[in-house]
Amino acid sequence: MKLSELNEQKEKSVKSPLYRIERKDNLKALIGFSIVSAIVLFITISLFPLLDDVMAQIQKMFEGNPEMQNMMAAAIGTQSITSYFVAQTAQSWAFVGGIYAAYLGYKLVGGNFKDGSYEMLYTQNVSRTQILKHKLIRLAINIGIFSLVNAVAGFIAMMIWGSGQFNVLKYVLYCLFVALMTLQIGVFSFAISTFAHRKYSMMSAILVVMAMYFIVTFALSVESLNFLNAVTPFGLVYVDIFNSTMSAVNIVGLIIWIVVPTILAFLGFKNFKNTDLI
Amino acid sequence: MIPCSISNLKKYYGKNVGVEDVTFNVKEGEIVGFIGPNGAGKTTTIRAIVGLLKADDGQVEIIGEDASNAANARAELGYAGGEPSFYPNLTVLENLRLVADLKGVSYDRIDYLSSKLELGLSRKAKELSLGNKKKLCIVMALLSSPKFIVLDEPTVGLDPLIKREFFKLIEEEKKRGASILISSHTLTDIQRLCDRVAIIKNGKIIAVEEMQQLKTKRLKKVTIETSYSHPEITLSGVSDVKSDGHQIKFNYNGEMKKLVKYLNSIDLDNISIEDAGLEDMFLHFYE
Repeated sequence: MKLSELNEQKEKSVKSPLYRIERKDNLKALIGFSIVSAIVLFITISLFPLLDDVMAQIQKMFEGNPEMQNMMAAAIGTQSITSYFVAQTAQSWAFVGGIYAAYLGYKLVGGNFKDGSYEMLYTQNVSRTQILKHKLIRLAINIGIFSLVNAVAGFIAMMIWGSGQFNVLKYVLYCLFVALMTLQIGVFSFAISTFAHRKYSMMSAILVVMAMYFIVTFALSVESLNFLNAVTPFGLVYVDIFNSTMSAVNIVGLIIWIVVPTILAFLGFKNFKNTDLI
Repeated sequence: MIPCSISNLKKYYGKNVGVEDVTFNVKEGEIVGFIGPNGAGKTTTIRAIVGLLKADDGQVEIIGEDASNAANARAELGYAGGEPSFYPNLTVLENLRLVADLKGVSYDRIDYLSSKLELGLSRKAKELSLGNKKKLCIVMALLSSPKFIVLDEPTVGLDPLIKREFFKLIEEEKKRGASILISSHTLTDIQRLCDRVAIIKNGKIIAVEEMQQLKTKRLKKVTIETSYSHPEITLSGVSDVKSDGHQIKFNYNGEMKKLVKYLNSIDLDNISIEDAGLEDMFLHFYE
């Protein structure tokens, strides 16, 4: 397309060059993470009938030992497609989502320092606060798209392999919680990046998510460590919302992980506005 | 309105001094060269001007606004940093369109500037050679025809033909009325382009001179030939004395009549006095 044609389109298409540039710069990662996560989610759900058979055989082996049967059911979660979804598939979605959100939070701010584009960006006629606002909105939009793609892939798979066995409204509620958790991790990572600039690397962003994941795994395995569920946003979704709805949700954790990223982001904005960019 | 004014700028990095006493300005329609050795504080000063660094003390103003909070004024600022800066995963055109859209200018100038500097638009910015990366940054800086342009080492990596085009563009910008601050280690470029030069050493501005004045009135390169060897040069203002048999070369910084009077007292066979180049003056200031 010629530049003159682009000029004609300009007034119509360019509402904000900052949104556009962040969309383009982060498009590949969005597509990559969304597709990988959706495929893993789809395949995992498709394994349900197979694992359900295996589980039935295991249950048979432990006939007369209800304690052991319950333990296996909780671990593999194959008593129903909903418990299987909670115990297995949603975990992979939430984990990949957490990694993506942490990466995106880092990339939107710290990435500019790593690739050197910060000098060009922050010497334009837009305030730092405005730039960060655009980036934060891009974070929310991309996480929204990622979550939607996964929710749709999961829904199709659930309809195929668990048709009639799950409540759609509860599925939607579960998806909203996963999206919220992903957003919480994204904002948390974004906020850290506004403080640490180039000191916050992609690796450290991913390590933080891994640490959160291991904490919630321990918290779920050891009853006395259950309180640690509130320490990570994963605690919000690694519960059986299908069967227990809101009563399964750790309200303390929910509040903590709404308040902490919000405050961190607010302080990050203030800090970023008044700090040296080097 | 003075496009850029810096007074008593101080900037520290922890206990290390970035700059300690920087005062100079760039007037309307003038080109100021900014020179100094590595680590003298050039980049720190430039980064404070473009708003990347906050001054610890002193004032930096661009287009009448405090540089640390000058988002509006930066609509009239064009900046190309020492390290090429752009979105590496986007194409050259996408990078240029971003700047054009932010500054609210037409894309026509992208065509003009990129053809002048022979910059292809379709490749990804990260795939460019150093010279092309520099070109991209120069085009971004000049794109909006800003009132004030800051260029940090703009000619590094440019081949001689493109360099000539770059000089022409800078002269065009000057004719248009733009004010330009150029930092460079290539002193011949500074000498060729600039009206004034600010010299920084150890974080302090040690001289701000009109280029013409610097060339004609200050430092002279003197070469004398004598029939007897090694006469001692005792005149004050003499520096960098080099003796080679009957020929002696030295730099002189002082009144001309004193030099002539002194040379008159020596039995000379030949004499040559010429203006020192910026490089000699640069070394003179630093030695």
